[in-house]
Amino acid sequence: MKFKLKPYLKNYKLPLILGPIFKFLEAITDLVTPILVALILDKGIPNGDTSYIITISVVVIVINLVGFGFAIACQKCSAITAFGVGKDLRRDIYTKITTLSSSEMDKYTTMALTNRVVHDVSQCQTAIGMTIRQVSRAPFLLIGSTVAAIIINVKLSLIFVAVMPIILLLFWVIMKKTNPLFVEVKNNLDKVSNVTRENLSGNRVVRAFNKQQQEIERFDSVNNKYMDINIKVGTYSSVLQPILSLVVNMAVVIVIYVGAIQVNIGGLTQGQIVSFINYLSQIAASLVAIARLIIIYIRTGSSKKRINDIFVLEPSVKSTSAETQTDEVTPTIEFKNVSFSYNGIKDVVKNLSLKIMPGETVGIIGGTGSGKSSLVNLLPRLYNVTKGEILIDGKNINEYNLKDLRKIVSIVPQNPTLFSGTIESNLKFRDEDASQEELTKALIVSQSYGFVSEKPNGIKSVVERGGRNFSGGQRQRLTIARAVVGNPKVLILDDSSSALDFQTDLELRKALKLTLKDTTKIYVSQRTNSIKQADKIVVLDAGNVVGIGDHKSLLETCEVYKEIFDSQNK
Amino acid sequence: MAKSIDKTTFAVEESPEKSRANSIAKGRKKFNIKNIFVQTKKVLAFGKPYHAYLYLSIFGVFISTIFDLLIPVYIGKSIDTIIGQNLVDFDLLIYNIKLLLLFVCGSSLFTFMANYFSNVYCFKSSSRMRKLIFKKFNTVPLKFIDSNQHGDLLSRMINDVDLLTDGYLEGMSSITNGAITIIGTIIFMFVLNYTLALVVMLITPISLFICTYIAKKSYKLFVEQARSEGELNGFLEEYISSDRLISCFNYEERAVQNFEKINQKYYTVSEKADFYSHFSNPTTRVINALVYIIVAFVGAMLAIKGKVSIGLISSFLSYANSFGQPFNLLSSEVSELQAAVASTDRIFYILNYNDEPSDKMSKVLASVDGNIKIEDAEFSYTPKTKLISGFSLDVKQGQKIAIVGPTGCGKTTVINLLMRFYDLNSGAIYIDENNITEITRDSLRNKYGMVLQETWIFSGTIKENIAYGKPNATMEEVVEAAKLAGCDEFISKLKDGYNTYISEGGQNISQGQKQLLCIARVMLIRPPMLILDEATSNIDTRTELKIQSAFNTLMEGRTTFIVAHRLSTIENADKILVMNKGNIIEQGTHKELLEKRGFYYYLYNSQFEEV
Repeated sequence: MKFKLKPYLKNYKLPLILGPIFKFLEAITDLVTPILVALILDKGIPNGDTSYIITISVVVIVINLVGFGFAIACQKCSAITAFGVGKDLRRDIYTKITTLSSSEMDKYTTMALTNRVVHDVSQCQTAIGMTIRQVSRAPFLLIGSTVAAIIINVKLSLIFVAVMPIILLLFWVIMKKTNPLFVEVKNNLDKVSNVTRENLSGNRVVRAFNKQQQEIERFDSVNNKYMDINIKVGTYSSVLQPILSLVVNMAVVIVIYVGAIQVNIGGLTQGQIVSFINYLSQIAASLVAIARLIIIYIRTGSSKKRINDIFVLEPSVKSTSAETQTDEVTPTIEFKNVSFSYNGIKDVVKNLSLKIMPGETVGIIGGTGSGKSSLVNLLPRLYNVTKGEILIDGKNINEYNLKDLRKIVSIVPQNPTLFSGTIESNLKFRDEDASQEELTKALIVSQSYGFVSEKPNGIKSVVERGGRNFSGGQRQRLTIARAVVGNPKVLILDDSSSALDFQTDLELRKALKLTLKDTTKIYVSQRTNSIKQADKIVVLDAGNVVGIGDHKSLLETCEVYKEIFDSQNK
Repeated sequence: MAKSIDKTTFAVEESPEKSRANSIAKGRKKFNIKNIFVQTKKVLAFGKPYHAYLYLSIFGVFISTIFDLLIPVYIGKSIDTIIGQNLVDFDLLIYNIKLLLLFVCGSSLFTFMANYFSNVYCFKSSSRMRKLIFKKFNTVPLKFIDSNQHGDLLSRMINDVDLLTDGYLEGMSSITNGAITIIGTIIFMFVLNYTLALVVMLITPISLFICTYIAKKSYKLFVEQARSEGELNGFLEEYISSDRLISCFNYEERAVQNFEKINQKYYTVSEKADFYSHFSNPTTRVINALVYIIVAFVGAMLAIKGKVSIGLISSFLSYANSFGQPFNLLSSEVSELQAAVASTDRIFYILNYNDEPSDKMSKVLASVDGNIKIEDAEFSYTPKTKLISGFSLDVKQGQKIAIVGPTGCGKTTVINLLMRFYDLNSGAIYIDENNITEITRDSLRNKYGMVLQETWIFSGTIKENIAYGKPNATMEEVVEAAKLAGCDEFISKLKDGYNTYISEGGQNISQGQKQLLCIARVMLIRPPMLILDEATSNIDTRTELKIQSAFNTLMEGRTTFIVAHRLSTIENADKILVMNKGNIIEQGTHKELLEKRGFYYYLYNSQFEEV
């Protein structure tokens, strides 16, 4: 699906069409004013006709007030259209983002996506608003002024014709020079923020190593580069305005001189020269407006491209539309020759086969990069397997409706993140309609009941962004509570007790075992103590299964497992 | 861990929009002329080394404005020589045109000069401001860094400095320009014709009042808009970064619903703000048009009586225009100034923070044996909650002290005190008989090697990261340290080896590998005392085994404080400090503590109890 602005504009047809018309009408009043004023100078004054002067003045005032009304109406149209389109666009991009699967999301950083929804859409908004306000006015004034000037005197108008390309050329040159620099400004700013962010987060280390001076020097070099590039860009833009006014003023001088010759031979009046000069400034102003519009369009072009990046993404994990019949009983899970790779080059899970019976407790252990997390992420289909298949009750998980599959499988991620809201809203993440008893049960099982009930607002306590107002251990426990709400058939805990002390970890495992008897529990861990009671332990090493069995048998048969166990217990 | 650490670890970057809204909102409360004046003086102090640029810029503005004022006069004069057929005074016309050309070129030249120098001035002083802020980050007590959100500090350095530059420094040149234009225009107009001058002078400021009124009205909406945009940003940042959870929990539709609420709110506010803010432009234009016609009208009446010429009316018409411009400009700059005032406060919040007390006069600690004595230490982060009190400890050279306790017990506090990131409230810490408050911080800290659980990697090559404490280390030394830390293996597998570029957010190395690099960093400098955090969560156990032996070699003969998670470490420690809720509640050897049957006993047994 390619992104186009057009369909979005369709919803705002009326203001989109009316806006430029209002502006057009306003522009007419702008154009008429100097003509009428010229009449005062040319006819009123020489004839000494007071009532003529009064009439014209009143007409000008009325016309301008009407023009003001049109201007406001146009403003309203532009605001409605631009921000309306922006709103719809933001909604659609965000909706699109939610449909993407992890493989696509991995390609973009959070800020890259956020900036697209906010800033790139903003850029489109500005462009639409500017277009409605300028598209009729600037070209109309430009053409109108030119025509009016030609009517007054053809020869003098030639000066106008000469000025226009000069002004446009100026803009073009400056733009050519500055546009790539703007990218550099942004990149350099990124560097300045990055050095600062690193300094702040590593402030303790910097001090421990006595590296303050070195840090300041590091900052200095990026900061100075940022300054230099800014001064460079600034210099280009500070040239623009004086040159522009030089060109326009020069044209005025020429108009006066050539005009004087014309007047002397009787082809022109004094008042007409005054109007002529007025038109000239009008033309210059319109050209500037048009050039600005073009700059905005160019910038919007890159924003549209960035938005399009998202729209063209196709989620790699697709759901079957049919609802899946799921039993109330816990299913059997089977991995059959499963391989998985993030990039298609290196397999992080290699030809893995494993059968998990209903209600079993399975431990998965292995070093960093052994493929533990990757393996469990395959079950709720965060990623598709590259080779082989995963069966739930004998049926390939790709044939399950995604929503139903994810109702069966619940996961506690490695990184304990909560959402801003309340504890309650977080607990209801899996099941909106969960009862209070169920939530309380989840809190008790996850060992969070104590600290939650100690809070003055209990379960209604506010959770700040990411859960930053809770300690690491508390967050971890709450994410476990969140995962057990809604009665999952399969529960995956991906190294989810690393921030808990042994004692709490133990209580947690006890409680899970007691309360979720029928649930299949998959523990991913680095600690043998956390999983040694499991019915089945899978030992991974660089994506390969090097051992499956219970604690005792693995100690005897699996070298890797023994090594891990010894390192932690001797 | 201490709550101070929580803040550094979980600081989420505040979006610039939000802080902008906050700064505007704050500024509104304090907005008054006197405040602006005081602030301007403070801000100008930043640019002190570059004041020559400022003077050059003001000079440029001054001259170019005078030229700008002369241009319409001579256009008018020129037109007056063109009376009609065969009535053109070419000698006078050419004389006028020559002058006009001079003014036109002069105006452009000096405008460029003014623009250029004000630009240089602005960027040089804002750059200096950033540098001062950055310096400050490295000289304030660590407490300041721990207790402020990093995103916010960053936003003060980046956004607020920009807002300040826009508001004051750039505002200044337009204010100078405006003031000279207004004064000059008034003088010129009165010289030419005082009746017309009075007309222009009396009517034009009306647009100022109206625009200020509109600005005030729309300003409120802008604050709301900025706040609403901050909310939008925050939502997206939060939800997109946790996209996986949203998929896993079938939360997509509800997420879109939540988004729509914020999106709709933003639309309502921003549409309104946009509409009202665009009100002032047509308003000033219509008022200018009115002034224009009134000047034409009054001028025409005077001309009929033969009191003024048509050329003079033409000059006046353009004065009417240029007299209105600065008012438009000033009215539009009010809101920027408001934001700048708020930003200045936010910047000075950092700059006015007291530095760590100077230790220039203190003694430099030469080589140490590593005997540490803590006497009756008392410490708390905030006066309200007491943490450590009456804590004494005697550590002999080469001893190993294990710190144990449940999650969040405050183990980092001990590190903070030993390395003097924080000072004791009372009591003293001695290293080889030297009170640590009497020696320089630098010489104290470089006696310690520290490996924290939160890894810190800066953007640079692997080699640079390992050689952080010893930048002139040879390649051999770096590789040696990497081998000892057990990270040589993965480094050599990388395409660029030790020259691989890495960064904190970088995807190319794992969390565990980062930890190994931090260990290699300490391996390289081999300090006499160590502070180690046994992090079990990030490094896989097999690698940990290798590190363990490396640590053991490193610890040989060195005094070590170790935040312990591993049983073997605890059992072999010369002394164990048991911490809970920030306090050191028990201390002794493994055996002593077990016999005591206190908290440690409970903690120890929980690990081996069977499920």
